[in-house]
Amino acid sequence: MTFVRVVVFSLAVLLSYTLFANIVPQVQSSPPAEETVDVASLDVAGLVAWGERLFGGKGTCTLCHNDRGRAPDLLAIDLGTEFAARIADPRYAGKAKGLEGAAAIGAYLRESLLDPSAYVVPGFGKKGSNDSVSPMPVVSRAPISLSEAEVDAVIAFLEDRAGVEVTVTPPAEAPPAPAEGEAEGPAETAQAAIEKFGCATCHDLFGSGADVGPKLVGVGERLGRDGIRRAILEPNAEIAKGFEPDVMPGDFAEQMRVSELELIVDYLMSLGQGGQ
Amino acid sequence: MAKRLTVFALALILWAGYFYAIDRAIMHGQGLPVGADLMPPA
Amino acid sequence: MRRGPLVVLLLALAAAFLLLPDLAFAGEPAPVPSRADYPTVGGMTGRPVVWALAQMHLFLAAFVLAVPMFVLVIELTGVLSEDARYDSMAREFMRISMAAYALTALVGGGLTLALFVFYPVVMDYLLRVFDGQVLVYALLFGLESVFLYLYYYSWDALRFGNRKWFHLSLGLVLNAVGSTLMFVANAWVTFMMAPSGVDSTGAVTGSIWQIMRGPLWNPLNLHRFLANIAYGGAIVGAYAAYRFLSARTAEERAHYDWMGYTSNLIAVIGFLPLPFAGYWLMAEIYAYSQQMGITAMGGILAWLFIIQAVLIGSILLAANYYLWCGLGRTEGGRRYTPFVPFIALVLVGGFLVWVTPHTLILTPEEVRMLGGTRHKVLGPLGIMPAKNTAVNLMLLATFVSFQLFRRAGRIATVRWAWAGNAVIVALYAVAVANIVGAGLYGYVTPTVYKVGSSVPQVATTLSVIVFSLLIDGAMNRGAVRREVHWGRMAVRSQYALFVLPVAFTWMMGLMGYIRSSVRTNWHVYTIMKDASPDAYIPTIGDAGNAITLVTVGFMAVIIFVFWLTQLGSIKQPAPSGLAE
Repeated sequence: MTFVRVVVFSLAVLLSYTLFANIVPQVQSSPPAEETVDVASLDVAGLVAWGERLFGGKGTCTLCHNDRGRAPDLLAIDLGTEFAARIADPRYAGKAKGLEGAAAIGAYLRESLLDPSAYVVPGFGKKGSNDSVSPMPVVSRAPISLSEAEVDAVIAFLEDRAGVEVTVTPPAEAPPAPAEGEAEGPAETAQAAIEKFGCATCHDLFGSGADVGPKLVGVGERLGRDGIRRAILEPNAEIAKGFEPDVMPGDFAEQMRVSELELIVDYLMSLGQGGQ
Repeated sequence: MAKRLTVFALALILWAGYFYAIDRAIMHGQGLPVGADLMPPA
Repeated sequence: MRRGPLVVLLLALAAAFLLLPDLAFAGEPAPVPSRADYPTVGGMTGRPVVWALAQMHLFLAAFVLAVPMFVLVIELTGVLSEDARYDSMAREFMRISMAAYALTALVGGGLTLALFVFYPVVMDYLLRVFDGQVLVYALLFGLESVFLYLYYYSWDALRFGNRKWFHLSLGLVLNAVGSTLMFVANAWVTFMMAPSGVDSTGAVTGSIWQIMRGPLWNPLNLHRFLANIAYGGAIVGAYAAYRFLSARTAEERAHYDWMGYTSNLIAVIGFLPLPFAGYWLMAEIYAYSQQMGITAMGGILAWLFIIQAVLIGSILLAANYYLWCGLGRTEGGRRYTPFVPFIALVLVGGFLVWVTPHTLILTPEEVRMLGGTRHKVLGPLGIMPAKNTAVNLMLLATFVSFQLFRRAGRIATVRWAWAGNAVIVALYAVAVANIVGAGLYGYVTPTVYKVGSSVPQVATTLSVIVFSLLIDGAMNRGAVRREVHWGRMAVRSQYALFVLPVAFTWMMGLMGYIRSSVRTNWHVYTIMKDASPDAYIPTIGDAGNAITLVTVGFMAVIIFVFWLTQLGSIKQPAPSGLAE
């Protein structure tokens, strides 16, 4: 009889905990849905809207950027004046210094997303770091892993909210598709390969005029075949003077076929002083 | 009774000193400022 | 029953050898599982199966690791106080643990099997990372079995003098091996939450020591070490309570009452420093990844901590209630009964503060009526400074109950007892002021600093405990012991001893749910994404139901274990005419 009483009592206690767990607000959290966006077809408004979705979705920004004090409440404060004030702060020594207006804000935003510790808003630094280390993760890395286009979209969204001109342009062409599900065959010519991997976006090739990366005229004489291969497959191994690391994609080793690589190397070797 | 109160008062002071000391040590040990430095800038 | 662990050991060794990863691939990135890599068996996906087995294994393992720890201390107490009753109680606790040991190993084996069947890609990677350590674990398991059997079976052979000290040493080694076992297994768990010794693709770049020693390893080690002790005490308390209720002689009642008191004591001692260990763990989680920290406490899992508050509240109330009932065992206890309502007030008040949530999830109607998502008056009670203040005051109140109970059993004879009391009262007064002060301080400081002000609060509570015990100990010299009428306890007091293990068990399940969920949809955080059909965090209701099911299963197992323990001491009398 004692046994029955004890068991019934214990089950009753268990039941009360179970009931309590069932009456509090129920939230199921699923992994963020991967949104396939036709990047090439986006206009500025589309980019801003995409950025807004990312801000509350895959980017997980609202986890910390809310009114609970862990990070600046970006949706509540006047971003225009706020960002300008931070760039004007004597403590600020980042990439936006020396720039003006929308360009400054664009640079500041990109820096905040990809290198959050470059400047930490006073009071929000990691405990004990005296506001020199930010608790914010780098958004292009795991666990958030925003792609380049997604980062652009978030910047566009925040610039729009700040009331400044959106400085990011929607990508002119779709960036190289990820390895999974790639059905395309290999590029057959050097020009097709260079188009496929978007080299002309940063390097002045085929009249693109881009100057994000070094000029490649005479690169064959400077680096030789092995040097060019290394520069493509391990871009951070050696950085050209006046340029920054971590800008050139580092995953061509996984993306490129050997035949495509050789086509590009051949072409670059042929870029003499009177290059195309 | 007076003896008891005296000991009590003395103990209060001593304990207060002890707790103040460990509070400070702990907050500084965490790299956190204590007191006025903690107030956000005006 | 003895063969069970050996079979499991052999199976583990075989599995380790067969599945031993090629060492040459250790430096490769982690594999990227796809949906197809998660088999279903009998229509079931991996998560419910692994969850149930893992939880059951943890319940049992916590129990069998904890018991030898306090058994050793009780045995030592028996040697130092030359009171044989301690020795026989230690032995009785050990018998309970032995009966559970093989079941623990069995469920552990089942868990290992389920992990390899349902999560082959994850296990392939983890084996690659932890490599030879798997064999170390198997070896330790073997050592644990050896020392457990040695410790238990040599009890009578090593009873007195030097032999007794040798027996105690066996117990010490047993506990060292058991703790090491737990620390090794903890490394696997913390690696999944906060990987170390690998690069961002998951390729191994460090030594096994660097892999093990992630930022969360030691906080989890401490937390589980302390929690195990509290848990073990709670479970054997239930055993004692049940035997008390079914006792037929006054002697039996006295014996099991004393056992119940000792168990409750162990549970409370293990419980008091736990908030500090929990704070350290959360602080390290925040330092490692603010995202992970906020997910746990400010985001989707926040409500879990309110449920935790309910559980801890019920544990504290039950433990205290038991202590108050215990005041009736001695003549001296009666003069302390007027204190009880005040202690109860602090406990209930603290509990209510703790249960108050910060934001309420409301319909838009309700938000409009309330003028926001927070209650204007009670809302501020929902944040950490209020919670930490409440819990520290509750712990202090519990310790007061404990201290009063101890004092009830004796009359101090030292001449400075009046001064000692004054000093202790002053200590409590300043401590309470300090805790409340630090709490208020937390309100006026930026968020990042709020939690930091809780460390002085915990230090205050610990200081009170340490100094009180020291002063009390000194005042106790040559004290006249009052007669303690063991057995003189109301029946309802024993039910408090049943609340403890039920609440503890369910809370362990809840904490496991939190620990696994903060990883969100990652097997190994930032390194290996979860691509299974179960890659979502279940609602608290669903989790609660799952936890309840496993808890009921565990209760059934423990009832079986208790019954076995009791069975072991029954000897059927020979029918008349037969030689005994």
